[in-house]
Amino acid sequence: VSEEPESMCALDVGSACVKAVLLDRVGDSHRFVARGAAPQVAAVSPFKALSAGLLAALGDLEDNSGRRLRGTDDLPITPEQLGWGVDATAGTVSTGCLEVALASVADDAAGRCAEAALHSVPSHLALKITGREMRAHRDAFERFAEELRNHPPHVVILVGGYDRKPERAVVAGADALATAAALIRPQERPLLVYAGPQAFRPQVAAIVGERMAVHMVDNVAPDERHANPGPLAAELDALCLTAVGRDTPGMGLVHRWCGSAMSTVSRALMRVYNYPGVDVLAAEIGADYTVLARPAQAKALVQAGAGLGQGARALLDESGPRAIARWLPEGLDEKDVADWAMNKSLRPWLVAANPAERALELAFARECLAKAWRSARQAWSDDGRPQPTALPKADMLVIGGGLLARARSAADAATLLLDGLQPYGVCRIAYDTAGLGPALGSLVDVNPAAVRSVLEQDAIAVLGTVVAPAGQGKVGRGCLHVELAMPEGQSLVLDLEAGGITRVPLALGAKARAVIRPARPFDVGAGPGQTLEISLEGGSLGIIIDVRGRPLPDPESLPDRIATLQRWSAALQVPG
Amino acid sequence: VVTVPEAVIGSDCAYRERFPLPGPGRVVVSVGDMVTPAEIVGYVVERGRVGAIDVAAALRIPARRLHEFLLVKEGQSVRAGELLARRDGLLRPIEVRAPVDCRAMAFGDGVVLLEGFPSERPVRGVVPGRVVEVSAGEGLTVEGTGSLVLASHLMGHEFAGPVKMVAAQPERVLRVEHIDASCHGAVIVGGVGESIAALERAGEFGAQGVVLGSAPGEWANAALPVPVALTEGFGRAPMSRPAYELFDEMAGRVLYAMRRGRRCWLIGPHEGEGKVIFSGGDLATIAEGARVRIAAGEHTGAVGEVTVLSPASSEATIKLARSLVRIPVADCELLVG
Repeated sequence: VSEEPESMCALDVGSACVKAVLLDRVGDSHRFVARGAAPQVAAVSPFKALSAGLLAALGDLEDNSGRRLRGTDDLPITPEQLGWGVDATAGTVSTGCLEVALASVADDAAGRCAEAALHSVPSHLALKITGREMRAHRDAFERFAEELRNHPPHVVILVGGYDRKPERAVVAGADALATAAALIRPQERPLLVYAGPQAFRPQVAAIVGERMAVHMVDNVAPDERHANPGPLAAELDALCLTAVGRDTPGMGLVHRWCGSAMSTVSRALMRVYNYPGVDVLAAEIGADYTVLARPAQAKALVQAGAGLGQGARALLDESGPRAIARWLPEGLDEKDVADWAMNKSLRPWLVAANPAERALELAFARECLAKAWRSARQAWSDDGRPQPTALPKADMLVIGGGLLARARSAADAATLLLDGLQPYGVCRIAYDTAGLGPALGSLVDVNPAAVRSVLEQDAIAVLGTVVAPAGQGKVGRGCLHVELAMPEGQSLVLDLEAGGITRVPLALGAKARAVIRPARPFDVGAGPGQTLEISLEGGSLGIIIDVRGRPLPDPESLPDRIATLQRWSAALQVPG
Repeated sequence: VVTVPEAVIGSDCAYRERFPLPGPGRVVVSVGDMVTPAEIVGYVVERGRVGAIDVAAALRIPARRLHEFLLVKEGQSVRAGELLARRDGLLRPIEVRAPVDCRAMAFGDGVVLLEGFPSERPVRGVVPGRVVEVSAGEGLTVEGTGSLVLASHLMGHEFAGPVKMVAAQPERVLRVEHIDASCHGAVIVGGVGESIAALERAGEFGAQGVVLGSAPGEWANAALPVPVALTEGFGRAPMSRPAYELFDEMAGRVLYAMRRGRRCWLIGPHEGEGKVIFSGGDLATIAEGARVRIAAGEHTGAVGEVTVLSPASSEATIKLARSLVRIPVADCELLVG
């Protein structure tokens, strides 16, 4: 008899909605049984408790599943007893973000690594100071100390210096931070996370310990050549769950429900898409932010101000209406973009009610993905410097989020993924049809086999395989010669011209052998103009050959833009 | 049964709000006092500016020896010109003095951090009503009754004034010609916002604020000549009819527009039984027969009855005045009041 939990309830406490899902054994495997959902009114109304949405979502789940999950004290009934309750509960929380001040002794790799680590959690870098500014003890330090006092962050991070060649400047930095922290009321003082040279840990603890609690993590830049943002990122991830929303009414109940299996969305995605031997790049578009996770490389990114709820306004302000309006069909313009973003910031739980709103939602979602990838290029580089030409290339791309769970067709999901992330090379693409990714990620440690079963059977829909050469060419000029040996034995030869997108049906589970010959300067992963022989797997859309170019062209004139979008949509058979 | 947010539009609401001071301070009203949003109900402490003096550098000593030369203690108040630290020099002593009246708050890394003396900032903005509870130094609770609309958003500062209806219909666009000298000191209730010129005219005539059904999204980032409250949201949606009719009833009476989170509470206080208890916009469950307001799509602001509720498809069929519409349940709000 397995000792692993059989029935499980996972929560996804978001900043637009609260979702509760029930998983249980059905026959030989675990399956998704039911879900409940409720709007998160606490996101827009002050002093409203998070528990209101949580209890409403659980009530909805109880109605939908016919199973009582809560006791009279509103706490979970665990373990399952006579069909009541569940064996285990878990959840993700994505309300609020970690407020951070960063003190970096020098403007060097350590500071960049610390910022990269910050990108892996929902955080806001509210204050930043360098060692030189601290040592000068003038305006910048005065402003830093005053801001620290007026708006104490959750965490102050101190970095600087290599382990092999430690510099005492980091000790002076700790002294300066301790001095500034003395201005803060004791109950509001932040935690200091020290991620500098290990040799100075005792001194830093002695200097700062009286005024701030100190956590020590491995040096983010142990030497000149290596970056090590992982331990700091893990510490910040843990702090997100304990420090953020500490004083929010109702957070206590959320903690009681999730217990020790509480997770951030980024950590949950890292766990759920961790398939050994497969490089998965997963994207989750939320209300406040967009998360990218690449478990094979142990990299995650949380792009704040890029969401389809509260994050829509920040996205519009930063990217500008043009970047979003470029994806809109005829009849919608930049005014509609502004109206939609503002309304979603007021009522983030709203669902697109008509084709126009769906088009706006998809346009914002594309920019969410694009913005997140732009940030990942910088945050995920080995030395913290941006990689200007890198396009996403992975074995498999998966996107999820509330929008995808409501997607009207597989083609909608594919369009969003291809336009937003603009992957190149050959990769499989899929989407989370049920919006289960984060909730399942929180359950991975509870019952990994059950999570995998639900993920593969009830959540992920494989769209197919994309072949997308990097590079650009004149529209209509020869770009790609593809020979396909289809599973039924027939062969298919395609000569594709630049600027288009083509779909070749290939059922899920079927494979086709392909010889892909790009014309120079196009590159499908083997190098510019180099032939690639590869096996392609099918899916609901089959094989998608995307020769529109990378980066995608963006016609200036409105009629050209609309005609181009229509052509692309027709090729993928996106409903109008 | 499905859970949705409440849309409150009521002529006889009872409300109660716990109002915490936005920082450490004191409450200056007592239980039983009548208060309005314009009244000062307390004061919070605003701490002074921070200054740093690099005493170690000035005395030319290592930072670690700072304490040997300090003449003040942490937390000590000092007058401008008072000695902070001193070291004997070759010819004459080297002295460091306080530049202003302040407190020496912290020492470290060779530095003395100074903080100006605190001041008090008045606190306003409670709901109109009677104070029923005071927590010394923390906040107060106010109760009241009146007409109330839970509006979507407030752009600009909070405002108050007698209601002046200028829109003959809730879908009528607010235009320059609708505004005249009779709007002076009033809260103008229009239908749909379109042009900032109308707001400029309202400002010129001294209107306190404008209440509209909706307005263009660009207004959110614009410097508006008068503050604007929106009952529905952004776009071209008309004001929902129950809200419009309630404001019409309130013509000439004082309306307060108060920001609460991203929302705006529009309250016209009056004596009443308080038939509807308002707690800031809760979640509610709807079933077939419920009266709802539509919050998105081309029917935004429309009010109707749920005829079919389909949790499986997450859709609801709503009977409006002249049509049946099918919309996502998530876009419904239970109409309360």
